Amino acid sequence: MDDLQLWMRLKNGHHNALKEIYDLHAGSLENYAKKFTSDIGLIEDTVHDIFVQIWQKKETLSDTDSIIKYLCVTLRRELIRRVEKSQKTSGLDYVENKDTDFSLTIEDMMIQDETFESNKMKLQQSLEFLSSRQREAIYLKYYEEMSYEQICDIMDINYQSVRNLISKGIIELRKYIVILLMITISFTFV
Amino acid sequence: MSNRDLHEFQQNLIENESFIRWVKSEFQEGDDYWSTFIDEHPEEEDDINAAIRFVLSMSFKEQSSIDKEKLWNRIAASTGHEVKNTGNVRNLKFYKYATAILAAACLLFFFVFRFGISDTKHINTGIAQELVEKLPDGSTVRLDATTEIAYSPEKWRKERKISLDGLAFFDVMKGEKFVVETTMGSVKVLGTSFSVDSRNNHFEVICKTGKVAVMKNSGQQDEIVLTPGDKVTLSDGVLKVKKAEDGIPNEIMWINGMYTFDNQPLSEVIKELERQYDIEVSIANEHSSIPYTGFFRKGNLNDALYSVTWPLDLKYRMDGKMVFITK
Repeated sequence: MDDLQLWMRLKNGHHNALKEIYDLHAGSLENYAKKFTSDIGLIEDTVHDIFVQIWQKKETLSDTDSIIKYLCVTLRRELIRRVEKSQKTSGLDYVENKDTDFSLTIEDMMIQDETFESNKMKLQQSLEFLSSRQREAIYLKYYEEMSYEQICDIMDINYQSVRNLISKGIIELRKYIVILLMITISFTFV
Repeated sequence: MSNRDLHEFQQNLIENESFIRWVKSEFQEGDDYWSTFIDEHPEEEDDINAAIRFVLSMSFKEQSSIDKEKLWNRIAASTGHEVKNTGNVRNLKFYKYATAILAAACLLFFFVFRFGISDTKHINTGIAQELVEKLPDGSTVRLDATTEIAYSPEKWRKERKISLDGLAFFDVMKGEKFVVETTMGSVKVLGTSFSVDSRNNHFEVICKTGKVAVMKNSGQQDEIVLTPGDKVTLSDGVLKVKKAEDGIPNEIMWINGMYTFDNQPLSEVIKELERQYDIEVSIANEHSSIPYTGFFRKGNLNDALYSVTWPLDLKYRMDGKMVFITK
């Protein structure tokens, strides 16, 4: 069942289709939402409202060949709006989330030893140096496996900006990985 | 190649869309482009491997803090589809309150929305459930597991139109045109009984009594008229008829609790098992494409599993709701 057909079923008023969309993407939406806020209650309310909204205006929804993109765009807009409202700060187009939930499964690249856990901690700390936007773009690219164009639509920035965000983010990450590998190897030989 | 160039080469790979897709698809996608590329560039193997490891390591910690089921129940209630209690005895007390609250919420929903926005009635069944819905004119629909229908009771006098997602048997009272719509095709009748299967991009109609006109939603093909015992299936975009006189009349087996398969991949049989019994089946990919011809019955899971696995020389093992099918 491809996205277009699933979307058509929803537009035809099949509640099963809404449930299928929820089951498919609820996990992704939660992960993505955490790039903007750590307030679980807010995430739940927003996801709830988005699905109710989709259901209520299903007859007039525009066609989409990527449901996850549609959901991410809506979720991002809604979350930023709500977080800003609660913080009463205007002019801020982005919310920095300090409680990073972003980590790399670096296990395969590292030699398994007792120093591993502490290295993993260091890596996670270093990830906080990535900007929220870099983390968001890298998340969409390598986790949701979206195309650069889709990420443009979601983050509402142009193609080159997306490429730059990801490129710079990866250079940062690779630096840390090289350092970590060196630490791991030096520990192994001590 | 200088050290700097090497880094650039790796970086380019890591950011290359088709390379990412290839790695993420476990090296399946992309018509062997990248496997060939590696074979042709043995001197860059280390770099390519490093890039592969990097892309694979870019997965994210998935720490779920949301109770997905609870949130869905909230959404379902807000969209007028409260989740039915499937009979968990320990939670009965909780359900009593929940039902009261839900009932109140639904009542509110009913008054606020039903009359204002939509007058469409939705009925659906879950896994291992079935249900008979009586339509305003006395026609009946029998819904098999995981099936949903939608129709408008108010407009029913003017227009007998019902939309279906799943497998259902219709017994239609004589009267004006009666239409069943699905994603793939639709059925038009006057007064008759027939079965429509619209699951998994499948579209199949079997006529039991009377006359049934079937048409597909896309492409050009005249509507096909079925008489009792005829069956039509949409395959490769074309409606194909199996007339009753060509052999044994086609029967609607599922109505009698029998699910039949004719040279269909085992994965489809498993999907049906999972729909009829509340189980989850685990099977190796290499086995899921084996064609299966035969049937299983509803009612006894052990018998059903046996009648599916035995003819294919496969074994099964049950562990709670999990079923493992192996060679």
